[in-house]
Amino acid sequence: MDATATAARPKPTASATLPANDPKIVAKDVNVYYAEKHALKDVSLDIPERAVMAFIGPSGCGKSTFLRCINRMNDTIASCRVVGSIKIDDQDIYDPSLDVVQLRARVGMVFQKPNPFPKSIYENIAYGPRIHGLARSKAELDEIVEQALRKASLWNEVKDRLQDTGTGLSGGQQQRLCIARAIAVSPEVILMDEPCSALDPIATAKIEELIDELRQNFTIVIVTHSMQQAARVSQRTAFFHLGVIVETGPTERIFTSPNDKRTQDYITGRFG
Amino acid sequence: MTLIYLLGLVLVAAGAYVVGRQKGVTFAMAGGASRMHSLPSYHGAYLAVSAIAPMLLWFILWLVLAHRVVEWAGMSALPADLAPADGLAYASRLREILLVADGVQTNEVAPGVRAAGETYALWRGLSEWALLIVGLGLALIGFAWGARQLEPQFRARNGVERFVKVLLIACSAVAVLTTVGIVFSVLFETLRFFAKYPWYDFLFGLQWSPQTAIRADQVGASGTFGAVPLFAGTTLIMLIAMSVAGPIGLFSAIYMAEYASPRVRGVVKPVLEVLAGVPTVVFGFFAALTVAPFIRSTGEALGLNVASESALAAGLVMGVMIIPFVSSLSDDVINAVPQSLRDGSYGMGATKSETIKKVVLPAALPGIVSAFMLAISRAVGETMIVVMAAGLAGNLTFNPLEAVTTVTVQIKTLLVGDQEFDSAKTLSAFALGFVLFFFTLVLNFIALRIVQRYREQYD
Amino acid sequence: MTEMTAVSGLGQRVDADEARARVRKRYRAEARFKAYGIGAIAFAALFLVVLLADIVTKALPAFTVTHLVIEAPVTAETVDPDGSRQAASLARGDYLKPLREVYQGFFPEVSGRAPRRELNGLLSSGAADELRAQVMADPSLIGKTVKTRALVSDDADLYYKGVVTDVVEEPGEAVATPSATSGEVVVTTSTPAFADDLAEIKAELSETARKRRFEVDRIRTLREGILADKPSAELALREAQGGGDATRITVAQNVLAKIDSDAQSLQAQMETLAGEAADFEARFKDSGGAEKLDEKLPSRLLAINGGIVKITSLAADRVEGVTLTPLKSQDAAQPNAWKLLTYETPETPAGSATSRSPGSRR
Ligand SMILES: Nc1ncnc2c1ncn2[C@@H]1O[C@H](COP(=O)(O)OP(=O)(O)O)[C@@H](O)[C@H]1O
Ligand SMILES: [Mg+2]
Repeated sequence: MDATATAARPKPTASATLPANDPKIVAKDVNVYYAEKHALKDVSLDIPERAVMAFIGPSGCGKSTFLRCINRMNDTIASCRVVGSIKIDDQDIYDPSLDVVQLRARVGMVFQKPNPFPKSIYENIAYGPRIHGLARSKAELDEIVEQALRKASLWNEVKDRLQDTGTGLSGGQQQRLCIARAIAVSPEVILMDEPCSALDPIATAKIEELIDELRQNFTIVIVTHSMQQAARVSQRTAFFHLGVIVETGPTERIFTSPNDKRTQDYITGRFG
Repeated sequence: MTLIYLLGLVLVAAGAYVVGRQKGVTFAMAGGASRMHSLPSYHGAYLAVSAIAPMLLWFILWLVLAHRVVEWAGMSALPADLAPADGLAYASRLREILLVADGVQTNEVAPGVRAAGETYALWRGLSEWALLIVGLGLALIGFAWGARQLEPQFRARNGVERFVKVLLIACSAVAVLTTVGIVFSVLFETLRFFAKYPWYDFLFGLQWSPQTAIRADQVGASGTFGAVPLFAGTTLIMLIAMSVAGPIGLFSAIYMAEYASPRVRGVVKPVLEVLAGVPTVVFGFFAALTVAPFIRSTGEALGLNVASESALAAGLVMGVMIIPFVSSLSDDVINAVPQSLRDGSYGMGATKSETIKKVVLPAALPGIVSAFMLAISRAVGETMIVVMAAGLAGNLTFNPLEAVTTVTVQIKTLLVGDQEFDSAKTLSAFALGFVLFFFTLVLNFIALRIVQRYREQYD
Repeated sequence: MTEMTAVSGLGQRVDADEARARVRKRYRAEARFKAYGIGAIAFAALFLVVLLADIVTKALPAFTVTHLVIEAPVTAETVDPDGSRQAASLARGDYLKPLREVYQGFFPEVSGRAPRRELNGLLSSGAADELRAQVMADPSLIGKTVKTRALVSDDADLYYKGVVTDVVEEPGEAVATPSATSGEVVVTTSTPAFADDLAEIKAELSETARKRRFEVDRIRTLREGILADKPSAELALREAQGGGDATRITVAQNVLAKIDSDAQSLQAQMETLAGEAADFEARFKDSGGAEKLDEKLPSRLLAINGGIVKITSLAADRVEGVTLTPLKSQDAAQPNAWKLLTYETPETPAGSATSRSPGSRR
């Protein structure tokens, strides 16, 4: 059923990979405080639909913080306070009437360190569909699990051991399992916070390949420390520095002719 | 004298250390520190160890042997007609000799005993001097032996570490041997009991009445020792206690770990731990004087037949007592579940309770199970509350409103009072103790294994 | 939010209403789960509070004692046997005697050895300690009347602390006329003032009977349970005898004997209790005018005309009893000028056979 849902969407054309897409997420004047610490200052950013947006910048500049604002994961941190507006499809996600649980079903997240639940591979994927009541029968659930694993290019590797525990997989497989887990609830946006930083180069290459495929169906935001990775997978890039966005634009332009001196310094490896 | 000896030991150690270190420093100055194998302080420690190790060994040997030798000397000084015939006479004669030796009692004593007392005192003095002189001599030899070895290339550190290792092994051996000793002494008494009373009747008999001596001419058994009513009573009370402590402890732990703000947690956790700190006697009389009458009157108001001492009262109060055992440990294991798992679940759009039920608790399950096991072994071993609130009647029943008794209560009842030590009645307490020990051992073993598996999962 | 669900990925598969209902259900489950946690902690905390409160309330009375304030004449003959006014002599003096004399003076109607002893028993054996200390500290008190505090016995102390029995006071509702001032007294009232009490006593009788029956049932099941083991015990004995193992035979015999003796003693208990129950039931059914009050029922006293009558028999408008303290007059007492005192705890609690008079311990 997932397949039919996505098939109903218009297939992105070649030009859709360019920054010409409509913005899916619009952030305006976002400020984030951790208790007294002002972690993000007046951040405004448009994130295009069905494309990959990369956040780069030195450690501690607020990339993860901003990413976590998009699915309100910051709500789980008691000291954290978010001011400003973030809209997804023109809906303010900080509107009090909005339900976080439903928001997070629309905006999935993949973390830095693979964190499969200590359950079987099957149960890991079925977790989201179960809590959101997406499947009405066992057969339907099986189908969702298979589709999610296929989209995460993991199906062939695990189809014979779906009942094995998820923590028994290799690091790269675990991360793809987490991506499959996020996909299983058919989100519109997938947030990835340095998804490859704990992986070896081969596993990283696989994930990058996967991200490139996923962008046809999902809006993807990825935080990365690797400039090469940003260049390889993303269409747009935002450069964060000390809690502000210094520069944003098509990835190619950012890497070839940055407007700001700080961006220039960062991508040439002068700091960070 | 032993105090002086131990003081001397410390002084010797300090002196040897200073000398050795000085020597090490000299080596360092002469040849440069880089040519030395060990630091000067290790030279000092090595010398100290070589001096005190023989002293310590001699001290232990002396502790074990000296008083025997002295006793033997005193006893052999007794004239033949005063020599004790059996163990009892020996002990009382020895007391007399000691009194003389200590100068407490010198008149009103047979001259033979007085002579023996004096011999005893003489030998005791000798043995104390021997301790000191031989000890210091050994220290000197050890010191000389160690000092001769010291040179820049000498591996002093390895020597010291070997000594520390031996010391640690010796310490843990003491702990292990003590445990083994306890187990064996209980085991031997248990076997003596089974020689008087068939083990199958003990383990499977349905009648427990150790007090009844039915006919005076009966040998061996003076009562019936079918322990099944005790096992049933123990199980019943344990089940009641766990059905209170299990859910309440677990939910408290979940609330404290996942929902409570640090301030609430800071208040609630100590309050719960107060429950563990209340003496069991206090719980016991609360159960007997307040809870049991309350249950009885409530039961009667409902038309139920309640004994004034009931398993329910004891079980309930015991359950409350072990809440902190469940909650504290569960709280710890829940906190040990990595935050990344929770984040993963929240990121999927799960609510807090779904995250707890489907991710946190399954991940913490092994730890929680072992918390329950420990609580169970606590419940099974608890005596005071049951003595006071559940009675002594060995009823074979699973009705929580009846009076029952438990293994621990019977052990206490059997051993309080003055029966002959090797009567079946007294010995049966050891058999019960052995069963109890075996049960808690198995429980702890399972708990440990589960915790181990858990550790492997999240290193 | 409606629109949002509609355009969301979820909205394409699950219709908005259903999704909302589901989310509401999930939040209800969330609230319930959290409530369990709070409930668990509340239970534990409540238990702790009840435990502490119970201990404190039970313990507090133990920190106080009850004294009787008495002004006793201290004479040299009783407290200073040597007449020397020296500590050694004063210490040997009898200080209890002056206290008892004054104390007995409060109850002139008590006469005879046994009642006197019982009365004295309400004073502690250490009652005179304070007087002794006072006199020894200040021998000039000898020959004067000294105000002192006499410790009461522990039974009396517990009575004053309200531990022994609850006491209910009811003002008299009618004009009551006693027939005499001391000894056996009949008090008649103008209206049936004791009707309520009579009904209450009847109810108590039936309740007591019910409790006895209850106990009988309990013992019967207990006995049947024990007897149910008998066949298997007999079988075990036969097997043991067949096997010829002496220890086993002894054990099996013991088991059997224990079963028999238990069953017998339970049978005896049952019969006693059943007898009592039948007795109470008969008294309950007997609708005759007067009901006898005995030591197994709460005690009822009548305070009238300055004296106290202990009721032995009670009818709706007439009670019989004996005076504990004599009445001052035989006049008719007006409503509210007299009262009925009910001591809720019977003198003899259920089950125990002999009555224990206060002070009988010493
Ligand atoms: N939970 C937190 N509590 C307090 N401060 C935080 C927390 N998380 C992040 N910060 C602070 O916010 C700033 C931004 O952090 P983050 O968004 O994690 O940076 P990065 O760009 O490396 O992902 C950092 O200075 C960090 O110290
Ligand atoms: Mg980060």
